[in-house]
Amino acid sequence: MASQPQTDSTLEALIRQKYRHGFVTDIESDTVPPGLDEDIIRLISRKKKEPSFMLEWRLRAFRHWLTMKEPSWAHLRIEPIDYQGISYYSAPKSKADGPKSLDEVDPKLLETYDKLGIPLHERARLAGVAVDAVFDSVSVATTFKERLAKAGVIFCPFSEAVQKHPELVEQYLGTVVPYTDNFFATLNSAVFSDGSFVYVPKGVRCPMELSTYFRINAANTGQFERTLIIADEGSYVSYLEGCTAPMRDENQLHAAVVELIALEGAHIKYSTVQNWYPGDEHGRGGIYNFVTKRGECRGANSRISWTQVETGSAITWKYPSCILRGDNSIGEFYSVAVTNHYQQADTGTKMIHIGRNTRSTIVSKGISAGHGQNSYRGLVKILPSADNARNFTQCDSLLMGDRCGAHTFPYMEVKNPTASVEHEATTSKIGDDQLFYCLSRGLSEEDAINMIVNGFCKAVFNELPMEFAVEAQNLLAVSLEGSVG
Amino acid sequence: MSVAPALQANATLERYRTLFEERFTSGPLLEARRDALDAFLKRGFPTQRDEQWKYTSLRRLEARTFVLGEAAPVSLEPARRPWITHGGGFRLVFVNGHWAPALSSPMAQPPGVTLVTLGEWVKHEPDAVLEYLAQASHRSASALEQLNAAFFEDGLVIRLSPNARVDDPIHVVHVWTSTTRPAMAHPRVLVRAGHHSSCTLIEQYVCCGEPESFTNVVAILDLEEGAQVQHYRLQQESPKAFHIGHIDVCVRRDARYGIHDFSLGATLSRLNIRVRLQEPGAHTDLHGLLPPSGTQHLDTHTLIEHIAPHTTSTENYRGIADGRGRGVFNGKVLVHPGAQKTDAHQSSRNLLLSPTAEFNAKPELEIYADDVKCSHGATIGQLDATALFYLRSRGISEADARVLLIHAFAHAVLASVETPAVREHLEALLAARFGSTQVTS
Repeated sequence: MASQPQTDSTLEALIRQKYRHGFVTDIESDTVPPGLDEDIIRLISRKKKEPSFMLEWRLRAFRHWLTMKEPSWAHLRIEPIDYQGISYYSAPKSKADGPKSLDEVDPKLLETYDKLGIPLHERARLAGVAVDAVFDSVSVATTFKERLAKAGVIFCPFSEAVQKHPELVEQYLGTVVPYTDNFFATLNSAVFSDGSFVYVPKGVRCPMELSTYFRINAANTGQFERTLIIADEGSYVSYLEGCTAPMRDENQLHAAVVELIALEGAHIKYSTVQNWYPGDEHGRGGIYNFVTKRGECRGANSRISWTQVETGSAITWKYPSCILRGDNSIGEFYSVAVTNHYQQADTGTKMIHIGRNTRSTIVSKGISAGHGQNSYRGLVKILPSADNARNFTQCDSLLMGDRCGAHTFPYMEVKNPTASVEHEATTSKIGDDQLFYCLSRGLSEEDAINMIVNGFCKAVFNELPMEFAVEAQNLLAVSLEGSVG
Repeated sequence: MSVAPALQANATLERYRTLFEERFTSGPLLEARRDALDAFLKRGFPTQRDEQWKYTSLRRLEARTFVLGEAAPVSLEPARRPWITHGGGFRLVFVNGHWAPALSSPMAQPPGVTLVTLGEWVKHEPDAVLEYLAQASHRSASALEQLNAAFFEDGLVIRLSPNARVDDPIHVVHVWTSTTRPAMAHPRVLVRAGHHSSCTLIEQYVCCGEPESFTNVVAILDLEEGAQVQHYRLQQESPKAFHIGHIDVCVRRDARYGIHDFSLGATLSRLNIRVRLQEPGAHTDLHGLLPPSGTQHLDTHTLIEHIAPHTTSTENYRGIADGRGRGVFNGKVLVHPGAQKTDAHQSSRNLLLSPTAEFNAKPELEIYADDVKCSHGATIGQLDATALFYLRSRGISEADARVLLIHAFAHAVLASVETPAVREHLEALLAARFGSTQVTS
């Protein structure tokens, strides 16, 4: 194209764009010294005033963790992590006895959220979103409690649930992701700081979208959230998780665990927009995002949908999965993963079909730019009991630039002859003809690329709740604009 | 817990060392063989913890004791021999891993071709063999390939001179006869196709009776500029046999390599195909049929490496799992950095016919260049219910309709076979396996 040199320079400028959400709020943190042993775990448990069953569970996990080795199978290059160099607990000092309303919340915190544009104040009500904001590890503000309470929905920080609803926690915690599950999930089980807990009672349709913002703030503090969502028979809940993080030079470890349980006829929709600090354009710094997310369709006719937009983190390693145990249950996974600069992502899903007439859909869109490496790794497993199980998988990759990579590792294991499993994948770059067409219609190259990329991701964005869909499109524009070479 | 299997594994490996010491005591290759043996012993048989062997366990193979195969006469009369007997060309027969001149066509060299058995080559040009082995060890470094390098005794070396066009197929038959003790062989097939040469290679693995055997074959093919090789591989070993094959192909500028893999026999079969498209214009086609039935475990792993720009590949694999059969297909396309304008298409379609059958498919793409077109599709399912219904509505019984549809499914791979003798042979084999009907027109 004639305008090549000029576009190249604008592209360069855009590629070099710095992370916009990089700042550190200066709040005194109540941080324990770095290192991990049983005493630290006891300390965390004591600080959180946990019942004894929790402490025992944590200690069991820790003892098991000591016997485990870091996994190395993912298509990722990871700097060695010093687990003894991490501080495992950090809470904003001013929590005192817990704020009752927004007025009592540390104004600096509110300022931080303001910079991020989180709808916590008025915008929260306007958006109809109840925010359970996790600032580092302790929840500081929860809105719309009353409306939820009226419906009977429990939506609270995990630590509160441990104290107020220990029976529910004890019954469901670790039943989807046991503490022996994998290296990072086990570590999380031992040291998890806080997270969200949701219980939707029988037949209740949750009156609003539930939302949490995770944020990593204090340096060298790994975040270990634990989220547990239980949808009782015939209920519905939509949960949104979104995050940004301040700029940091050292790699910060993030190993969260999310467990979803859908009982008979229940439907859980879990959406994530992840925009953690991805490191600078030379690959320095950035978040390590090693997450275990798994949902179990325990009852018949239940349904779990995962939707994720992953644009951040230096390394993303997560596989939101569905165990389709109940007959006629449905699992869905919609994902957009973007890697730019030196980001690496190894993400995908697992669909384990156990019940009869179970169905699953996987739509994964990977976009690689710069030196980014993007892998889709998925497993579809049809057990002999899963008569008439059905799966459809589509994973497409878009490459921008000649130094990035896009990889697909789908595993298909079928042990039932009535099942039907389909997988298709394509990899290509943005077509010159598509680009030319848009330019000939008077669009700028930036807008054209944006439009094409958004079109590429549309199947996933359609699954996002409204507010998130807008945010996701903006995020994508910020992360990718001009990366096409 | 881990102590007992480790000891057991060591005992197995020691058996291989003893066998080696008994068989190979001198000769120019002793050093190279011993290096390969040490490399193998150090790593042992791959286990299911190894990603490449996730779905295939070699424990049954490991537990058995094999002696090295010895030459033996084939007692079957010509008409009942299990290999393709008509169709002309040159036939080289290896019995239990050793060249059988009596069964082979006379070693009259067709113009442009040099055919030498590996045994002869070692005898006459040991230095060339050593040099070749040193090169090959870079290319084929897996434990089982090392095992082959330690124990290989015979095989075939095919050299095509530049511009040689060999119209008649070169037919290599590996046959196992009934042996008193389980036996193994580690043959090698080497093909060097000079520039703009062409040939058709038929590799056939067959048996007389139901011998318990272990074949661990390495085939290395080099295609120079503009060369064309069609490679038919028919694996029809006995139901008690273990078959492991490695094919390593290097394709240079504008050369074309086509493989037609029919892994039909053996209780456990594993084939690794690696094709490297080394220079621009190189092209490869992979076709394969994996029909595990009974208690068979059939596994094919393919790796297509697009190293240079403007290289193309297509892959078409079909699986039909019946009985308690288990099929594994792993197809990987690797596009190296800088291999722009790569065009790679892969398709794996698989049928499950019985409730106890199983199929594991893993089509992989690993891409480090941006201006490429790569796609893969994989399906696992059953016969199309509407097609079945249509046939039945036309008065065809359900059994016949199923047979028709299965044959039609397999035909997608069979259609790639251009040599009539091979095709007829395969059609007969598939009819015997899936049944035949009067309806077939």
